Amino acid sequence: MTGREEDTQDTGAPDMTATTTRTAAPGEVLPSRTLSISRHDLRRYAEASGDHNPIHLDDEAAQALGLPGVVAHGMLTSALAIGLVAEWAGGADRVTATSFRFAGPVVVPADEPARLEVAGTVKKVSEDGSTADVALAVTCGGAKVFGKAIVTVSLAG
Amino acid sequence: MSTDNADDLVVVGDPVTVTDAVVTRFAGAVGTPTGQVPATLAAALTAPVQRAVMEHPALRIDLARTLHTAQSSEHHRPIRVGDVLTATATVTGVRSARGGRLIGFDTVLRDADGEPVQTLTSALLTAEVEA
Repeated sequence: MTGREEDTQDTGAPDMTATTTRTAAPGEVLPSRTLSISRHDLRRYAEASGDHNPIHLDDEAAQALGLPGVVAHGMLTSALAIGLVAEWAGGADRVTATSFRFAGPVVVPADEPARLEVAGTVKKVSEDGSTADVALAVTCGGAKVFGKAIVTVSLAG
Repeated sequence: MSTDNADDLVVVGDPVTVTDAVVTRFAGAVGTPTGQVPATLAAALTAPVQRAVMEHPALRIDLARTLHTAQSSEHHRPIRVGDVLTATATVTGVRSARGGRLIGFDTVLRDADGEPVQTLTSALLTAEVEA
């Protein structure tokens, strides 16, 4: 596991081995988090995912596309955000749907990581209480990263 | 891997076995706790067919001038170590947008019984490439 998560609030890690059931109500706010993404993280994600698009690895390629420099994979920023919701819900297997629109690039400088502020709110709970839609607001330097970011999780184990 | 030449391009990948090594490497890259299969592992499992779509001559995509603009997933069941999964990508639409082309495609991961495990929906915005 990468050590990129910061300001972790001590909410008590869910027990991944147990069959747990979480309850959620619309409007419930998830613990806010700060994530950081370094160029090392981008290279690592490129290797693991097979996405070697040069705009994530090479400043010149990013600048040719009109970006200030190397930008994070949308699939990496969304994966990190999804991971936070999964943790809240009780584990990665709880995720049943995701929907992301990549609104703004996350520029990752060579000398320091990009920092993302992640806030999540329960938007909807299914009638039988078995699933919840969590809407994420993610910003980097005050700018929106996602136009839309919804993660649906199963609440029952 | 097989492809056809039609506008409604379909690419079928080779079966991929979900191994501990693949899961561990991807989990490390996205910070998933040990012992769990990352919710977005399908990104790695479908990379070859997605690349085949993006590199298909009929679509004329310049990868260096392409942005991934949207991504959705439906998880029919969790992916497990030991699964043998086959990805099928289908181009669902190509239209002019914002000075380039917006290309949509769906990728379905099926297990050895042919049951869908995960469905991914992707949108790319690519600058025009001279034919």
